[in-house]
Amino acid sequence: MKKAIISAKDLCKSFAHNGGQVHIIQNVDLEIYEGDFTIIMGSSGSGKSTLLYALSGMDRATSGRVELKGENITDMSEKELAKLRHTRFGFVFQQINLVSNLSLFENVAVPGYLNKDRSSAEVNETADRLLKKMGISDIKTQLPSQCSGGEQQRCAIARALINTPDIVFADEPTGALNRRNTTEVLDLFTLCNKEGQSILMVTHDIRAALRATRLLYLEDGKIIGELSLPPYSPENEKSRETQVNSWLTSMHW
Amino acid sequence: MDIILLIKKNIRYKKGSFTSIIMLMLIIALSITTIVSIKENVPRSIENAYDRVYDSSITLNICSKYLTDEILEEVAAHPLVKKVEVRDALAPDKYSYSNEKKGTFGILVMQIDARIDRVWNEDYSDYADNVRELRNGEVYLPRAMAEKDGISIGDSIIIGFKDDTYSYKVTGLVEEPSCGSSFIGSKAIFISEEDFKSLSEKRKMAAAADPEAENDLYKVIYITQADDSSYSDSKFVSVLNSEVRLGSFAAGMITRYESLHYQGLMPDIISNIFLSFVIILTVIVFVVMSNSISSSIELNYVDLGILKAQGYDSARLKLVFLGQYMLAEAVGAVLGIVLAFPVCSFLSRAFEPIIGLKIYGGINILLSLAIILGLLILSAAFILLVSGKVGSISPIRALQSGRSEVYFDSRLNVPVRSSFLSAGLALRQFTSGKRRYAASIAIASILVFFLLTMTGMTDAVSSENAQRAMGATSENIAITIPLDYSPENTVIINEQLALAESVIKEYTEIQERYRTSTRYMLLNGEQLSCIISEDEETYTITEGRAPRYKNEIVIGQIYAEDMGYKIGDEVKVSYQGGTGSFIVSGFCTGLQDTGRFFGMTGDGARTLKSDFAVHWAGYKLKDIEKQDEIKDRLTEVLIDKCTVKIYKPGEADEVFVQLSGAIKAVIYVISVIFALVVVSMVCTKTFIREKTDIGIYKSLGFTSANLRLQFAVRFLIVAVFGIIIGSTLSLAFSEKLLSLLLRSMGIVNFVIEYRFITVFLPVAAIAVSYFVFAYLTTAKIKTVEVRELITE
Repeated sequence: MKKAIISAKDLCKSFAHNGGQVHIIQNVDLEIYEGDFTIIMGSSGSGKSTLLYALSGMDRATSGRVELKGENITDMSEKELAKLRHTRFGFVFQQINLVSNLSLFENVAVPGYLNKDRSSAEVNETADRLLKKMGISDIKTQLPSQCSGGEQQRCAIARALINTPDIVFADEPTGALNRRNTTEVLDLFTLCNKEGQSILMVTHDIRAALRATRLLYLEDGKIIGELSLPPYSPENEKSRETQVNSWLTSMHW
Repeated sequence: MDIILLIKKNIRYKKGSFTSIIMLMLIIALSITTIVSIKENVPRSIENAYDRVYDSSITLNICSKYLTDEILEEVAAHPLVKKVEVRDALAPDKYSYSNEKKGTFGILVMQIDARIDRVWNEDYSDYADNVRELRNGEVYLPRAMAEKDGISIGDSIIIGFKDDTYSYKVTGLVEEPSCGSSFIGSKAIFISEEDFKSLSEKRKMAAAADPEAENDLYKVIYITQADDSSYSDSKFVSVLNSEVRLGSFAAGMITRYESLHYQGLMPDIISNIFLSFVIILTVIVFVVMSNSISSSIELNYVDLGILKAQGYDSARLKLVFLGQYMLAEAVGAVLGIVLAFPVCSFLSRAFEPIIGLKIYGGINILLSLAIILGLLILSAAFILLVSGKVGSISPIRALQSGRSEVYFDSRLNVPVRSSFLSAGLALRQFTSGKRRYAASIAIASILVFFLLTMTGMTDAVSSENAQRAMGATSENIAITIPLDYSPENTVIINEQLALAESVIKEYTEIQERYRTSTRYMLLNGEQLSCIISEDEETYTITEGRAPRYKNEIVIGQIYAEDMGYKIGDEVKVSYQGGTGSFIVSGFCTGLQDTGRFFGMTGDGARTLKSDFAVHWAGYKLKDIEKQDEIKDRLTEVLIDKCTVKIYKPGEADEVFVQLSGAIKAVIYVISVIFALVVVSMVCTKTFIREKTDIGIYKSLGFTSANLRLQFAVRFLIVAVFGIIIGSTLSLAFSEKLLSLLLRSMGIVNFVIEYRFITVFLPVAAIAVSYFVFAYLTTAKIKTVEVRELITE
């Protein structure tokens, strides 16, 4: 029996628009399990990113409840949410969003420094190890603007992992990358997941979807389909592609 | 029409910048209008008051025994003289008050006459409408004298002669436009006709019995220049003194010009200080505008590129910038002028206790408008110049990718560490965009420079070392022996001073000694204060050396420069009938008669008057703790005639301490407002520019409080750089600036003593302002949501 890390109950998110309400997420009940590589797919405007940020406490839901391992995060204060972000969550964004005046190493280490449970030396050691794992340790002193998009996104993944979070949230992490960089970044996510890292990713890239162990399909703010897959390996990529394509077709993708 | 629309939109969406420019311009327009008006109203009010009461070109005081009918006839018959008027006066040896306050002026007691008809009302808002006749036992004091000595209506003044004292109750404070200002050391006080006659009779009887009492009987002479004479007051005095024998006997002489000058001196100096401050503030406004325009172009690169793509040329875009900034400046200017009405009225009232007469007149609207208009034109040219950068905006680049990539490499970067994380990140943000903070640093440095200068100036009032360097003596104990000139008295004076010194030495070492007397003498026909001293250290020499031989004099540097004297020049000095030639041995600095003085040795004075002796001796003591003991002992052993006074180090006049404190307060308040405006403007722009970074930091777990602290620390770093530059500028230029501003007081080498408090106050004011205002302005960091990082 898998343990749920994130549980959402009756989750709604709506915005005021032209005097009325636009419902982006509608009464979603959902559980994200430990060790899974969960990917949420859906057409553009279906509310994927909104759901991701509501689940991660980055954005407050209009109604409903989100729990992290049974702990309600919906009513947490800004300070409590900030602590969650640097202790239990990791984030990877489509636009990468590295701090432009910090080196790659510093971008990775700074959230580690925030976590007072570890010494500065431990953080530096972890940052070095992660940068090496991401294959960018030789350029760690460079600024983001001096690196390629792929290198920057690998740095962003390392940053998300620095505090060994319970779960990494990734919002279209390959959306701004070319084909080669996309594969490299997805390989890293897959590797991390195989090492036990729980990941919740939002994407509309089929190549990314192939890496999932669990696929969810969102339409008009509602989960309308789910597909479970065995762990990814290059050998089973072809068969996964057929299975996922068929499932997506059934979802009117 | 389209330009008006764009200006309206810009103002609507950039209310912060618009409000800031309005505020800065408001302060400048307010200051300019107030200064211009005060600079006109004060001298005019003094001149009108003087001319309403007196028509004389010269007023002089002379001991009656020196004034013969022959001399008077000689003066009256002089072709340059239209009228001579003589009034009786009495010169008491000393005076004090019933409330234990000390008198700080030299006084003459005079009979009230019809000319002294303006008595201040109870709340000092104006002159009283109905003034009742002065009764016996009552006295009127000039208002500035009462204010400086700390006297109120109802107190009594006790005037003392050699053998008698008389007490009069102060029943009114009057306008005395000849020497009423607290900047003039001698004052006339007024008693009733009957009291004056009675007192005069008693002094005359005393004089008949004791020749020394003759020194109590004085005459005040008012000399009016002939209508057809075109001489200036100073030339008139010079010619008159060289041709009649009156001047060399006078105890004091003041021309109409000098009277007006001295009375208006303090407001003039304060106006000049504020004027220099306004010039500095104007520079700051230009720096702020330049920064604001550059940032606007940078932040709105895409919008401006789109407008260019729509057919707007650079000139049209520059007009938009010009329109919005000029509109803000015009609004600020109008508000400033309107506010100047109450401020000018308030300031005029603030000067009245110092000058002693009412300041009339409102705002000098025409001149103020002309200056502000000139400033606006200059500002328009500056805006057009700075906004020239819109010419380099490429519509294609703007539409494709916005501004080109910015690299943040800096040699100043230090690694970000776990400890002091916020401070480290703040430093990195600063070093990454140094150019963006250049304006803030420049402004902080200008403010620190001016605050240090002003603090240095006001602190000098109570700094012994600074005052000494500027020509003041620093005695801790002083002995006055008011004996008449005679060979016998000279012996007594010398014996008393020798005795006093031996007593002092029993208690402590004498570090410096100043045995001096100050007398009015004629230097090449012009009456000047002469400091006669037996000790060279009395003079603070700026060039050459102190007088050492009996035929040498030193001259105040300002007067020497004005008159073109050089070291080695030969001059003629006259005093009480004696005349001699002297060589200028050097120049000195000092506040005596605003720098219009000279000095000679006791031997030099004895070549003019053989029985001359100094009457005053000041001693700087090694151990000032023993002051009181020494005073008590000296009072016991010296003859009754002697008075002994003690002075605390850096003891300053209360009026000047309050006034300098008020100037400092106003300048600090304005500086803090400027810091607020500047920091909030720069912070707002930085916030907009770094909104994404703020979102990233939030997504990493930084709280709003963390991020605001980073902003505050960053601006503290900016302030520190400004403080370093401002302090360096202050070390190099503050004394020069103050010497220039205070030259009219007689100071040629202003000395700032950089004490802890002198430096701490300005530095703390700017550092705290930058830190706190940055923290407060960035409250909107709370509103940045991490979801702004989401790309849907």
